[in-house]
Amino acid sequence: MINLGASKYKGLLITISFFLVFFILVALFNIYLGKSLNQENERLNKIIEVHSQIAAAEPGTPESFWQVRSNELKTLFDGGDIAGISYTPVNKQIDRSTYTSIQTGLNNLGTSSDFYTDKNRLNGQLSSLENQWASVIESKEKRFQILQYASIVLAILYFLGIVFQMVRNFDNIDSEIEVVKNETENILSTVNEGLFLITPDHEIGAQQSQALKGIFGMKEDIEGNFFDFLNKYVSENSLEIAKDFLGLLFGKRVKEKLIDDLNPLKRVQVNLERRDGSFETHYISFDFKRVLEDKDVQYILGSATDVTQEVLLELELEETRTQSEAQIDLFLSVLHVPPAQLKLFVNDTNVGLNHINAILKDNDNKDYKDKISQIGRVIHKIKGDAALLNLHSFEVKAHEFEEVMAEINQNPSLKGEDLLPLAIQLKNMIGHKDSFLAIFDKFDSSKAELDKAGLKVSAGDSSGDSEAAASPAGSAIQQMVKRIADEYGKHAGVIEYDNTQSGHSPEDLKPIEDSKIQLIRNAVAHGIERPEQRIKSGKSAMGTIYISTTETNEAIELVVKDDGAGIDVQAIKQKAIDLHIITESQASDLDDKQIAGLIFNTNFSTKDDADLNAGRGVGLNLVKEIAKQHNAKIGLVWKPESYTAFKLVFPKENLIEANNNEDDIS
Amino acid sequence: MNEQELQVFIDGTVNYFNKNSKDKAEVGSPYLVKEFKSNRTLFSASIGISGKFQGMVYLFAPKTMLASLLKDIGETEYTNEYAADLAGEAANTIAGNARKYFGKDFMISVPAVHIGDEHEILLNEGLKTYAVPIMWKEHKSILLISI
Amino acid sequence: MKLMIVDDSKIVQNMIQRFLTEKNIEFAGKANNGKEALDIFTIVRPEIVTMDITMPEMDGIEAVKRIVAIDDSVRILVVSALADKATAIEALKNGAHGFLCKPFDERDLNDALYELIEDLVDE
Repeated sequence: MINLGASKYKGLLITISFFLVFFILVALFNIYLGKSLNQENERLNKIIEVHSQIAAAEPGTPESFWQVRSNELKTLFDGGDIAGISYTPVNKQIDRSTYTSIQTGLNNLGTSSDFYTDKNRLNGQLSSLENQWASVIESKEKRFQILQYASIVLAILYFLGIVFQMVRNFDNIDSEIEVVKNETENILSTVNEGLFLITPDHEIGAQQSQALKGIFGMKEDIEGNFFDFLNKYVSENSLEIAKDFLGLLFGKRVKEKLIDDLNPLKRVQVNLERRDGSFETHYISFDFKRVLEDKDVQYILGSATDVTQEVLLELELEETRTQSEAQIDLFLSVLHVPPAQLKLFVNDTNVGLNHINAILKDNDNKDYKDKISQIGRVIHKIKGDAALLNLHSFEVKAHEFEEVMAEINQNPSLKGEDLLPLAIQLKNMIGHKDSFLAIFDKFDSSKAELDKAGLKVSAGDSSGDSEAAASPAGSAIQQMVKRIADEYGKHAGVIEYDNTQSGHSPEDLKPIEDSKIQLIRNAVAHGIERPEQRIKSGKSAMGTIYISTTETNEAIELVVKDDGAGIDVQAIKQKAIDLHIITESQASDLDDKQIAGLIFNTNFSTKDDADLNAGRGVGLNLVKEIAKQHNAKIGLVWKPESYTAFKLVFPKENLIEANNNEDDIS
Repeated sequence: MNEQELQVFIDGTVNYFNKNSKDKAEVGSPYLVKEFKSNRTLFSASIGISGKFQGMVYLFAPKTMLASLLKDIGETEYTNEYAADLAGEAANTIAGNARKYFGKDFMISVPAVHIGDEHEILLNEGLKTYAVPIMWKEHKSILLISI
Repeated sequence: MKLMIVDDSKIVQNMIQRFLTEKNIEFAGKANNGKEALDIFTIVRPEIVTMDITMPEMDGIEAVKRIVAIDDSVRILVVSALADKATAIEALKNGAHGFLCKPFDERDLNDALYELIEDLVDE
């Protein structure tokens, strides 16, 4: 850095001071010389005066006259005052011989016999004294002149010397500045970041790094007010925050390093126009630092960096992370479920999702509440199937779907637009299903490879595939029951009896399976009590669910019975009134069986919070729909504190054809 | 794209009809499509989106609908030219609405209009395009959002 | 030096308090809301205050304003979640000196306090 203050100027200052002193000295000297010359001239004048007085004297002049003249001469030579004018003694080196003889002559003239001869002689001496004195003065003047010339020349030389030094100084400074400027320019043109200064009035400084304009896709240097420039790229809100933020930096109070987190310009989206007219999105990050001068904030140094790569990477990473979480989830699920069942699940889900799309697409039906109910049933079924197979991620997604539906449903009057979120949820689910399928296929193909290589990979129970498909493996049901029971803090076990003949296709038995699942969940959620309660009632802590599937000539009967608390008719009656399903007066007219039947109603539930498993009232409603679809009869018996039993009788003839009524637009 | 963002395009379309006519446009329930085929002649206006999101937005309308709208505006000529103009204007309104809402996040191209039975359209792979039916009077149009 | 903690979360209070015992900073009281903070401040007059700006009953900004009005030399560190940048900046405009983002660990707290009072300690 150049030190423009201190030393160089100091030297110059000293030189100039000396010059001034020199000048003053010369001036003083001149004045002194002048005065001295003046004095000599006066002395000469006085001598001439004395001479003329002596020359005019006649004999007989009184002694005092000669005495006074002599004194005057003496004063003129030895110093003193004459008529108010003081004379300094004459320089000792001057020849006094003439003076001495004049004095002698003067003393004798008073008593001289030959007056005129003596007087003439005195005149001559006095004249030569005058001449002597005149030449003294002359030589003094000459010397004086020389001195004057000399001092002028010296002064000029000195002055030239100073000028020369100054020029040299400035030259040095200039080349130093040049070097620094070069270095700075080099830095500014090479650096990747866009560096710039912001003045306290928020103007962008002219000195900027080359990179800056490129970062914003401009050809010219950026100038003007910083916030006006930003306005093109950020929202009003961010701009306000940015103004406040920079305001804090310009002040001195806030600690710079402690407010970095509040920088609103850490990621600014900038759209740069490509050559072909389309736009490329870049992300720019701004950093700000105070530029201090003597503890005052002179500028703020701004640095703009293109962080597009990092941002995109981050977004990608985020997506990958979410994807891989889902994928791990899916993968784990895939591992423990028999492939045939998985295939069935995926197929069913596919059909279901297509069905939902069809429901949405059918714009002739403007009863939107009905659409939601229909969709709700499909989703609930998917959820149930997923739960059975322990496919947690599907369960969660289906649950989310249900939540969104529930929220929309709260709206008393629905418009087509209101169903938009459902289309979005549907898209999500389809996406999830596709990811799942992708993993499944991969897994399947790698399993095939392994099989070929002689390595048997067992995934869940791969034996007895067709049976497994027809009736979910006993262990699967037990697992499901245990899981649901755990969630409710209950204990429940399952006893199953199944005498259906093999030879039924999975599709045919599906309605029975679906109903079974719903009824089981309902049993755990509502039927079986918590262990403490059971013990209080004298039962075993663990509840039991009995499932029997019996095939007769005409029908297949499904019975699901739990040894729980039975049906709480009062609670159901109250809930129905609260939900405005019936009025108080209507309620009093109904008998217990009719009230119990209300649990099959849409949206009915005696549990206050919906949870993953039951409680939204869709489960039993779904059962009712399935029964209706297949012409099955539903029976319900219970004994308070003892048991609840559901019975469904599916006529065999309806089972086989009732499955193919939905549009497939996949 | 989230709900609000999709809604911007739907609102734009609805506003266009409502502004130009006494009859209000109605939105049906949206669903998903992976391709679009039609069995009659339609006018299509397409808008390209780039920036935070990339994709296309299409508006398909039958000529009868456009003709009816022309009549409501006060036009007496119902040529293809005029109808195409109208479709383009509608698309412009939607695009403008979108620009206003999304501001600096989006670059929205100038709409292009096409007439015919076959429309070459670019949709996302699989069931990923939102189809929003928009009904006006007895006519039906479809807004496709593929982003 | 004395430090006062203003935060409605007991967990945060305890954490900062624990931290102080390891350093040469004296714990000078804790407050659950702005009003309490003012009361304690006027009596104890700590040199440093950590202030959560998302508290009920007199928001943090108001508290900052009032404390600064009583004694301008107090060093105030705003502690808050990042979601509310605007409020944090508002607090800084009103006299706070710095910002610490929740959630923070001991090291973050250490660095922040160091920055906050570094020039006082050097004197």
